[in-house]
Amino acid sequence: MGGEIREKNQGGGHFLILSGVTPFEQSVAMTSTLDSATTVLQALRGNRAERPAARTGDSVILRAALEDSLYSIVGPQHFFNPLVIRSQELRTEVTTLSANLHSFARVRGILMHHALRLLSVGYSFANPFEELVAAWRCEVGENELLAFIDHLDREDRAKFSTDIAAHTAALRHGLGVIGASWSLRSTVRVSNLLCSGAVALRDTIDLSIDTLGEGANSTVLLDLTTAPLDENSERTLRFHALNQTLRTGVTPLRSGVLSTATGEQLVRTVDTELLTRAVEDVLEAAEKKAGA
Amino acid sequence: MTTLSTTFVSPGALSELIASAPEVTTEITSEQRNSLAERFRAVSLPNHRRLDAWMVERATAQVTPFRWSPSTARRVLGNAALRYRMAKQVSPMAALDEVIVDHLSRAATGYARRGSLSSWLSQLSTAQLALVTSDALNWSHTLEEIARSVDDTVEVADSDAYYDVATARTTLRGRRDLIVARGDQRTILRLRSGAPGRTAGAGLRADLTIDAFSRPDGRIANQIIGVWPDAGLLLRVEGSIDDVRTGAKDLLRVANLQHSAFHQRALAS
Repeated sequence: MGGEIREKNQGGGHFLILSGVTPFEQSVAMTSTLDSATTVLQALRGNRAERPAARTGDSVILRAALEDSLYSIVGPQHFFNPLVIRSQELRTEVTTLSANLHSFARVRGILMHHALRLLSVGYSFANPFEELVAAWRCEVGENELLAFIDHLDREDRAKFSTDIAAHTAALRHGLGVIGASWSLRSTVRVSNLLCSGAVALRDTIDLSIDTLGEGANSTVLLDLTTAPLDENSERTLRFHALNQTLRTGVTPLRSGVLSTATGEQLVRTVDTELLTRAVEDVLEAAEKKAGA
Repeated sequence: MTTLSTTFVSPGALSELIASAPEVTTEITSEQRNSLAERFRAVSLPNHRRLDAWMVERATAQVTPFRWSPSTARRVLGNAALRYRMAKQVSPMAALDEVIVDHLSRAATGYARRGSLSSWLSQLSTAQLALVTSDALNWSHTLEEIARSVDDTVEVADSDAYYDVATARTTLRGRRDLIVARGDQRTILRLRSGAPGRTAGAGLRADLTIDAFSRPDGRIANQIIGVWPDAGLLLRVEGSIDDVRTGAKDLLRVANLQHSAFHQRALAS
């Protein structure tokens, strides 16, 4: 690998960050598993004293870079029917699951996002599966996936219940203690319109954290996945950073992904290179989608 | 003609928009109030009705019946929590807890009417209440962030604006989240989720209109700004008598559609 990796010691734990000297397009995705002592939130927030000043100039440059290229990709038909780019469309390969497994995976993903929302307000679980299903039902009423859960036989329900409990435990352990002064926002929806609305970048950032009254330079982003980390995690993380920069006009400090399947965590400092790569990812996805 | 302006969110952008509010302040006259009442009376329904900006934005589109959920409760709870936090200087979570406890005690003492937020909250499990808390806290944080980004005096609106059109059995409801006072100038801020659609300006104009009618002095706010944090966009409608006139026409159009639909249903049955 051409890039230089620095190891940083923060709050007793270690995590790896990609240094800014890596030549463009020369670094590859990597996964850093943190010491068990360092939670993903500690890694994301880092040392308060070392935080750089808020960067406010990136959003204008990124928007211009995206629009310059996107105008040549989108056609006139997209001015009435926008080309929507989501993080799923940035993925290199899509795993195909059977319908039944697909439903389990979708439900697991939804329940874990609900678990994150509940943990973000200090909820402690007694029976994660039942509590999460009840919370989900309160939000959406009834739907196909809830009917799927309701019609599981006892064996499947017991198996799935323990699976959810394990993922919830991994999530709770991975997050660690939430600081009293932190401002947590879960399931932050983003919809950045580009090229006069012909292109829409849609994203959902699972958790956005900053410190009350400290300004936007302390903002860090977290994505949650129930699958093991891979190259796509890196793309998702970049997409979140790009969208957050475009929507707020301030570049976030770090972006990370936590896997509740393996407990792996991936944390990146948001720099110009990361954002440039995110732009490339979006353009690639837009070309593919417009072509299709 | 309505002057709509769109701005990308950036540090200082909201304060700049507020500072550039039109300086002229206009008032609604009692003749204009009477004229509005007369027009609403002409398209009245047997039952009492409530109209708001959302109906103007949706126009004839099918609207699903209202039901309480974490996302429909977040604005009421989040605004109340921020109001409490600003008054008592407590943490966002403590403020929200206080607001929810207040609702629960209202339900427990029998003062909550059926179908109200208090009544719905009292039926939820602790996990469901935590989800409601999470959504409301998100709203409260976002609203506080907006309030902090403004250089002038900001307060959370005490309530939405309500105007009961005399003898027309019609209540108009205008949503407002933050009120910014800058000398004599008044700016209404509305926090919206998602991205603004083509009718977003009409919705803001309806809120501006209802706010003006709800005030005893009929004073029109200098401007209303819609903040769409999800899309990083600010949309401004300047407060002029023309905007209020068009806003009133939009509300009357909805009343008219309801009136026609009612008579068609009556004829069919």
